Amino acid sequence: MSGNWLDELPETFNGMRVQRPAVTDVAMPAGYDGATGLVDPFEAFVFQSFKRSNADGTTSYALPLDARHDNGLGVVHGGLLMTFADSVLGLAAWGACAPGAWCVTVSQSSTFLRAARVGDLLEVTPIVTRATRSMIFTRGDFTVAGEPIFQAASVWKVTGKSVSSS
Amino acid sequence: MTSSPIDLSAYTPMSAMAGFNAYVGTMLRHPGKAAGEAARFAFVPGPQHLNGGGALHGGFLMTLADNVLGITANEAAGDRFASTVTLNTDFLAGGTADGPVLGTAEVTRKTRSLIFVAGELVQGGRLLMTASGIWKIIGA
Repeated sequence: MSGNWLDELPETFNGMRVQRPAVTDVAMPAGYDGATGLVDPFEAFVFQSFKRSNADGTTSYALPLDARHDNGLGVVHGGLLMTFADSVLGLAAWGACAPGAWCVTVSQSSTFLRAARVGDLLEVTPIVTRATRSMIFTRGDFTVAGEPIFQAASVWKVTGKSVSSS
Repeated sequence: MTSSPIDLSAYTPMSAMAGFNAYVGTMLRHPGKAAGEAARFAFVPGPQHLNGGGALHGGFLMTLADNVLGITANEAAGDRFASTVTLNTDFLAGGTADGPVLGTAEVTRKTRSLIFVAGELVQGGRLLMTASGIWKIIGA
């Protein structure tokens, strides 16, 4: 599902109307230089994010928390944080795969340090902790205004075409 | 493509869901929770819940797990609110948008301030995810 997946979504599915993103005009925050490519329908449905290439070879990502993300109690839903983590740690994991290979999440451990709120800018620089022929280990410390609010560590299984060397 | 249809007539929509939960979709609940039984939930996914490979997105499944386990934790917390401190999720198989995902959860331990919960998500008889987490009772 490449390109603009919104155009490919059916109007109805299993008799239900297919939902479209409620927010589509999120502005790019200062210090970032482009939108993160929308890879997955669910990601495009629940957030917009932005990226920046750092001098040390890492990539930073930012997610401006918008009205979709409130859990109904004034703070951001943990499911949104875990979804963003799966998405950006996945980008890091895929980047560690050999050409032609890809990987899937096997396990994610999520730790919630403090609440985030609508209007906050969530930032992370994912780290590939270890990459083997068949497994990739990633982690990310997610911050708001420099304060850690959420941590995720995940394990990925390399699948598809086998990795030739590492 | 249809597998054997699952009868959801006993489940009712959870109207109290708001914000991100209501945006992601409608969670259903089975009312027949007997003493000592796990609470039962269901969710009917659509194309907006998929990843680029056509499987249910991991973030969507973790959101469901957070809700299934979190509702269970909050019911154990009584009139206090409990918030997620950790959630560990293992992805055993990929899900599809071709049928409901069923969720169950049970409290494994409750202390004065913490609630430990374990649960799982199943689709068409296949185990998609096992999950465990710790909830903190706010103000306790």
